Amino acid sequence: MPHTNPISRRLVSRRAVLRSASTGFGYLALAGLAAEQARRESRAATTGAITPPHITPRAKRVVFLYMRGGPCQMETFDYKPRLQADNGKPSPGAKNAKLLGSQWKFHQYGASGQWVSDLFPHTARHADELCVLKAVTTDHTNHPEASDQLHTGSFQFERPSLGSWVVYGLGSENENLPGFVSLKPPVQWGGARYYGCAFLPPAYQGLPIGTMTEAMTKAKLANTVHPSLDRAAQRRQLDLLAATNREFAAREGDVGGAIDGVIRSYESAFRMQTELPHLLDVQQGETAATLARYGIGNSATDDFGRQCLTARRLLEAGVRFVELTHDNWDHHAGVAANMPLRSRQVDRPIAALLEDLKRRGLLEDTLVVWGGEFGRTPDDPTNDGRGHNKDGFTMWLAGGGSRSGTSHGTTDEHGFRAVDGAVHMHDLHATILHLLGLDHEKLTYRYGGRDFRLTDVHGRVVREILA
Amino acid sequence: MPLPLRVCALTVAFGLLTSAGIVMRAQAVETKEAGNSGAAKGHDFFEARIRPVLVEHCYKCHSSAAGKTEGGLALDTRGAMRAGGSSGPAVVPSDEERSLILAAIRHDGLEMPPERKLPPEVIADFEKWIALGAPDPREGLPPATKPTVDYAAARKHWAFQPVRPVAPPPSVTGRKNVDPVDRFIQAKLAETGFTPAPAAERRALLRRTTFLLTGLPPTPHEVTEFVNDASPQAFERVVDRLLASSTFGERWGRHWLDTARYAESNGKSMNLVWPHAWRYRDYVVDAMNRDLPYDEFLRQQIAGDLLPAASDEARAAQTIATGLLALGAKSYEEAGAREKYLLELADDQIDVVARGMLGLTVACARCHDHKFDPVPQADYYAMAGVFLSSETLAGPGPKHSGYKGYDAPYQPVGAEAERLHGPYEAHDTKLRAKNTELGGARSSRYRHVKNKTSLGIERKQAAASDKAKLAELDAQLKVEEAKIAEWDAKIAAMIAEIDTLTKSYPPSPDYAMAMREGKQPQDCALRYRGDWKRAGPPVPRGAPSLFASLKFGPSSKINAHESGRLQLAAWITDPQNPLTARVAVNRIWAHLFGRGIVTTLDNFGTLGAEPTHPELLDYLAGEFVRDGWSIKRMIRRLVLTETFQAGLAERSPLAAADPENKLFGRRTYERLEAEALRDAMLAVSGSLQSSRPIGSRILEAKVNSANAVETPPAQEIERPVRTLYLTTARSAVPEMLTLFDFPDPSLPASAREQRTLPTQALYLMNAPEVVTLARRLAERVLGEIASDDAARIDLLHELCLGRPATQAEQLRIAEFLKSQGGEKPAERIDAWSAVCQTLFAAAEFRFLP
Repeated sequence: MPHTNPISRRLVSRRAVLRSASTGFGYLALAGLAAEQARRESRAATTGAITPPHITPRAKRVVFLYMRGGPCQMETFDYKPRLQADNGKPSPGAKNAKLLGSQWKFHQYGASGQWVSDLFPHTARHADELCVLKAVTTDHTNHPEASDQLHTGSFQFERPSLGSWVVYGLGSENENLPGFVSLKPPVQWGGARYYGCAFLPPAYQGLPIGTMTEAMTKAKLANTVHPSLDRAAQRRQLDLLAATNREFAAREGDVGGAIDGVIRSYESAFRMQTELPHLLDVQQGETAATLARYGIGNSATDDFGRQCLTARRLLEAGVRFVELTHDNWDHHAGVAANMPLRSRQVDRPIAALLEDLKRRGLLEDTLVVWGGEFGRTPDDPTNDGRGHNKDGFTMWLAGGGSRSGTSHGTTDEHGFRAVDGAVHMHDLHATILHLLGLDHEKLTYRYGGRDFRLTDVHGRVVREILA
Repeated sequence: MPLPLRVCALTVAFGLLTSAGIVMRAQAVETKEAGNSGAAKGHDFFEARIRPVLVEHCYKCHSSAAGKTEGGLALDTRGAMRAGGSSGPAVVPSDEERSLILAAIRHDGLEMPPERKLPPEVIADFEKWIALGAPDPREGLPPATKPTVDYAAARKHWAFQPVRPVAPPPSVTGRKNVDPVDRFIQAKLAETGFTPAPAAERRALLRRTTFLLTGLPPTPHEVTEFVNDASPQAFERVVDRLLASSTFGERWGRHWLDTARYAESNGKSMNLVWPHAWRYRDYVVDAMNRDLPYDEFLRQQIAGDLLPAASDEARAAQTIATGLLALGAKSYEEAGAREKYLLELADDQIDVVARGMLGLTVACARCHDHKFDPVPQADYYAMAGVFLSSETLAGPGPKHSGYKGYDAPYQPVGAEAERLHGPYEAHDTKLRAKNTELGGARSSRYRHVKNKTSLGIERKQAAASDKAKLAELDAQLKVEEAKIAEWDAKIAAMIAEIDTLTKSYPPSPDYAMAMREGKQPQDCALRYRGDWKRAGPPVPRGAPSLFASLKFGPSSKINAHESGRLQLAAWITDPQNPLTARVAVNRIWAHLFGRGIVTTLDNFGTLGAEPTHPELLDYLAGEFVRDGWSIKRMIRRLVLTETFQAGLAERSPLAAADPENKLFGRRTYERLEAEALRDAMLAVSGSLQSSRPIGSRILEAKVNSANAVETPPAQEIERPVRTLYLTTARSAVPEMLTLFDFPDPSLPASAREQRTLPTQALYLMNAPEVVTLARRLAERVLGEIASDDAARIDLLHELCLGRPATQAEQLRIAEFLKSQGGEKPAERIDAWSAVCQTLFAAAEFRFLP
């Protein structure tokens, strides 16, 4: 794929420079560790990136819009006229529940005629960019387990997150920034796993900024200036520290890479302390019109608008994987009030993000992923609420080599379960890696004598949705 | 959320009723009934009015003959109907209240059928039939109904099986006097073909042990002493010294505070300040220090207020212990919905007790039977009843008027509590009343000020010629001015009085957050799908039914007048309880070895991890109980094992084969937690205040108008006290703690994350408090040794890392000092401070060997 945007061009030259130095980012200042690294089990821990890529990459970076709690598919992107017609009838699923049709109308948009509900009028404008997966399935109906699986492939064991695998596979695009940033991750339900690297070296861990329950305006990078040392003096101080740490690792050993992780964290911190704070401050370098387009300044959209705009800035600056979290889509009750509220909070910001990425030529090699840990049931076991549905729900992709203006897979006429074109979570992961040029069966890490994969022994690349 | 099966089934059955059919049958019976009498008459009534309804509409799902007994309920024999299902008996003769079938068809909770209520005539028939004594000719025993929870199957799960008496395997090494714990570990290692790592070097062992037992680094003196002590008892002496130190409780108390989700503010949407929460913190530290037996420790936290106490002091401590149950994050979301608030309160109490003490996620059964563990929904409400029959003394709720019903007192504690509480509270009430009065007076005065202002405007606008009007306005103005003056005087008097009252508080008793028995203990109604508005049948108060199924414990009944906390405490701490001791020793193990035998410290259910060494776990659980539940003695014996004292052996084949150290054949690096890292910086820089601070600074935290905490008190992070004594307000934990994986104190969490993040690096690189401590350390090192830089560098390493500097370190630091330049004393301090900071930031400082 030709590099058509300035960022890609810049990266190519930088990558070329680095290859000639036979070392990956993060290691320029750490050549002394080579001997220790050689003892590592895994190849990529020393090189930082797969060269050459397994597959011709279509996407270079990912932004994952995590809709926490499980958004309802039949009120957003999966049009179910039969369900709406059968509203109030006894459910064929749960014994004492009634079918609950969407309370919002659907319309077709764009040349593709993609169906979108009236809750997403702004996103609907980009219907022709969306690749809507309407029959996604997962293994668990509990939030913590399903969220683990969404992020790590496993709902049982602690495994590296998708973002960590991606950074492990592709390395970083900008040595001054982390490869993987998670804005406002949740703390509960083991939220640290969603950006955790498990047994991958700590350098591949996502950097959490802010927490889900705090406003994005509070999500800042703290402690970025030394009270007395200037940058040159701090560099000398950190060189001394790095030497001490390397000596320690050499003396005692570092089989798990824990010390290496510490060494890298200082190098990474030193570099990001100048660049990252500026990127996180969306007031810098953005016009009032841009802020307004993201809904910043409007109480409903301000928070997610800031997340989306920050994501665009980070992606543009070379962050490989950005995750945003929006809470809470777990509507066991009060669908009538909650769906419009939650949708309004994200719709305009998402549309603005898609528009910006498109305008700047970034959408073609940036994969946008939208969805939650599962979807919802078409019937109502309480009053105006919906249960958890793992057997057929909707996520969508945009850009990054996904087939735009299409939908893939169908659920039954009410939306209980996938009947055609099912995409299991493992398949989705395999496909995301594929778009990034990574073969999910070859992207492995040896740990404790076994090769681990994001998709374990599962996963199928969904070729039908490749552009 | 899935639906409780028993509800679904009945609903469908009743949903098929048609009112027309029932009325017809009822008419047919009228004539037949006349002329009959006695039992026969009753049976006829049953046959005519009741059985047809049951047969046609209920048996489909509730018939033992058909093998369908959803919700554990069969309705096709007399016995089965009276025995009932998992919610209780469907029919109790002559007892309308307790006959759940009536509640169901009346839509009184069970709501069957949901679409349409049965015709009143049919309901009347059932009422009449039950009033008659529910005559029922159908013979047959209650069939063996299928309970929703299959206890027999559930008991196969390892953690629900009784703790087995396990004999340690023989030593695989052939050596004598090998500790039983080592024999378990080494036997398993041998199976995989590995041998344990050689013992750690002495300095490393001392550093590891001192940190793990006290949360602090060893002093250079302690290092020298141990390194030079050739006696075979040298290490034992170290361990005993550490266990006896008051710093032990500060370390191990903090472990329990994680489990106890301890905090000093409410969190959630109304983050109210809790000025007395710290007493619970101190109680926990003291309990660890005096090695309060763990079973007693748990009993006190559930029901300490009800236990006999040897002294006033003991009574106070036991009452403070129940603070565990009062310290949860409360849901003040909905004003006026007190019942909802109380159910949320009980939810937190269930969770902290069940998960914190039993490793059981009972709280998952709030809306439905537990999907993975043998915890029916009724168990949840059985426990909820216990807590709801108690009063949670967590202090006042939000100030807004809608939350009046959420106010609770604090519990006065201590010998003087009774004597002091009355006058103190009376004074406090008086003062509050005065303040309210003052508020009223101020608004009254303001009314007159407003009047005066408008009169003034009117006067300005009035024509100068209209003398009469001017005169009248002047008169009115005078009246208003007089009123204002009058109020001014009153207000001044009130302020003076308030001032006097404020200054003349009688001595305050100590207050604590605690529990006490409720005035009217009662069972809690099951809530359908967890919806507080949809009350079902009340569930008798009690402990999880799993315990009964395991057939242990005192068969103590909860009397009508008591909450049942005492009985719950007895069930949990029963030596036969398969969970309590296992959960406890596993946590102790995890805190000492960096990894639990069961890695999910708070979940021993089927979704939890399997033990890597089940026999060892049972052996330790058995020993723990036999040895009087002593935490200190358990720690002592574990620390004295070869397994604990092993080295890292980072380059061994074992390390490569078992990087997670599942076999415990060696040690792995453990990151210092937030508290240990900060305390170590304070300690080595000579800044740590060793005595326990009194109370907490929580009242100095920044609060908003609703008395909700927004940020920790200013300069809190700079206080030279041990980190566990810093204020711990929910959502306002000092940033440093959060960065280094201090857990969210809203939920019980015994295990911490161990992240390595650039943001942590930024903290150690740039945070002002780190730089300040580095400077203190520099001043200390420069002050203690006159001019010899090499000796200073050694001292610095002895203080921070428990060893002298290596030659390479000496050279590098000397070179760095030179590169920083400057000969003036201030410049030397700057340079040395920069060096000292690198020691705080060093991996060797942040990791335990």
